[in-house]
Amino acid sequence: MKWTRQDLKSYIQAKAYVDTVLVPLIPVSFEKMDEDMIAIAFQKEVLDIMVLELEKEFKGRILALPPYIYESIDQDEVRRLNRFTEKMDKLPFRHIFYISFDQGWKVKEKDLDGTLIWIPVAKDGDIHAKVTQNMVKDHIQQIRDLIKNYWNS
Amino acid sequence: MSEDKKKQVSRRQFLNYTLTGVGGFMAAGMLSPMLRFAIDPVLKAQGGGDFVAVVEVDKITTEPQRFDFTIEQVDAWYESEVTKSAWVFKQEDGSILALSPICTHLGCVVSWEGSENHPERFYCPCHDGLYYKDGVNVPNTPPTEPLHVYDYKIQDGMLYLGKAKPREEA
Repeated sequence: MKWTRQDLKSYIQAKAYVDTVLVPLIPVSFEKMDEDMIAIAFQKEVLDIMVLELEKEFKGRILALPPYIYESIDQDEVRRLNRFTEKMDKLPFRHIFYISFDQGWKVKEKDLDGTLIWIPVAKDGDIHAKVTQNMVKDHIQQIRDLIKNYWNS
Repeated sequence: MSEDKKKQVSRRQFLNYTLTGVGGFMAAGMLSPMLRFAIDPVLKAQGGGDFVAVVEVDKITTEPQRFDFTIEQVDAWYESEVTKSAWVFKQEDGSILALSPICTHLGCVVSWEGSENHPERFYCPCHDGLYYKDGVNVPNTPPTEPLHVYDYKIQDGMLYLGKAKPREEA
């Protein structure tokens, strides 16, 4: 389910069945080299598609949140993210997944309260090209299996 | 004098003619689109409209296979291409059944033999919902109604799918 009026209505009806939140972590920063800004924008586009597809596949069990925006990753940011998720943890969400392409989170992984799904996304490409699409599809397939594994464990 | 009068157009007549003429024009301008809207369904080209070619009929087996196809979807803000999927197979009597993969419980995507523990069933990974091959939900699993069925037609050896509809009777 998505963070929309319609889906939240269904979520409220079916809270007991929705035990997983998916939080996309998206960096937004102007203090980067021009190419790096383009790269994070492109990676964000790819991540959007992944989240959309995962949500579609697991609509009845996953609540996909709007992106969590940050500028840079430091100890403060880690705390802010943990605080944000802490509240969800109090609701009966059994699984909290962060999804990100940013290596910065991978390094801090052990300090995070939720489960990090880190995907190395290419820094440049054409989102409409067949190659990119196939790569993204393959990634989605693997993340799907990963999530299922977490559910079954 | 009277002959003279006949040839001349009086002010009253002139005004009458012009007003009727202009009025008539305006009325026609307003009425003709209305008329067009009223009989619009008659003017629309028949058939084809909502059906999308999905796969050659001879590729369909008795084992359900998943086929993806795209449709144009228009909502209030965007016109977009949406990918849909169907589980298609030949039934024992030779007819084709195209099932929507959307679980009727909470909308996850089901797959044929999606779980090793449940052969010969459609399986929903979210809450272990199960359906028999014909799309009917297995009792005592979360779904409460069968998988929806696509309208289909066959033309020139191609399978065309329309809208997925709920089963009337299960």
